[in-house]
Amino acid sequence: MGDDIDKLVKWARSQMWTVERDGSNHYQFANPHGDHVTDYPSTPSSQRRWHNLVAALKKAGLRWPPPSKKEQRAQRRKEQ
Amino acid sequence: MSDWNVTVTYRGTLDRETTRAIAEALVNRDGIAANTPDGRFSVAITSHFGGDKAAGDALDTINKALMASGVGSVEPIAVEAMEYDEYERRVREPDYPELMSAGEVAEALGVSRQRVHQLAVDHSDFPAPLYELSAGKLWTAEAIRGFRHHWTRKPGRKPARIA
Repeated sequence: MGDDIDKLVKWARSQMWTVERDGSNHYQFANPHGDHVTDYPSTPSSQRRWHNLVAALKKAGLRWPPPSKKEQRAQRRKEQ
Repeated sequence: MSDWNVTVTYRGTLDRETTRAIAEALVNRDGIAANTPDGRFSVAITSHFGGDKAAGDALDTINKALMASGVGSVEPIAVEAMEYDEYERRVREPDYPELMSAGEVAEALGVSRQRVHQLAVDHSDFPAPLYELSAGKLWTAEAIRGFRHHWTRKPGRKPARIA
């Protein structure tokens, strides 16, 4: 699960989300407008809680899972 | 009976402390509270009941957590309940289409890039691109695969026109 959260945090930051780890070892997710979305412990208790986090972030606009390298290239071309 | 996931949506937004307080109150139910961009917030938990009972159980449990975390009594505006396997399948599913540029379409169809553009002109049923950008067109992979499935390939060059 640790690898998953690291991957999610890295991807969210690449999409202009702000992800901060606070003093209680919780991740704070904010969307690209800076609006707080949710909070998640860095040592989550269950896989199901992870699923609920992913569902919540998707609902808040984060694309997940990250597209393949090929799709990311296409996305970059789209943005040019 | 398998467990269910229930997600309940409410009007309003939560601050950092409150999302955490709700999630902590529901930690034994895998709870997460989160804001959505449209001025709403949702709370998702696991229920050990199924169907209607799952929804009732979740509403009751979440309501207690909202009261305990200082949100108070709020009316839900949506309740979504589903068997856990279905919920997990939806969570894992990408929420955007797989895209193909002309080069990838060419590869998928086994033709040259030039032929892709020709096919688009010659075949009225060739998929319309999802995006037309200055850098080129992008199609959904699903549409291209659909075209490939029913496309009757005619090998060889077209016969030259005789004047």
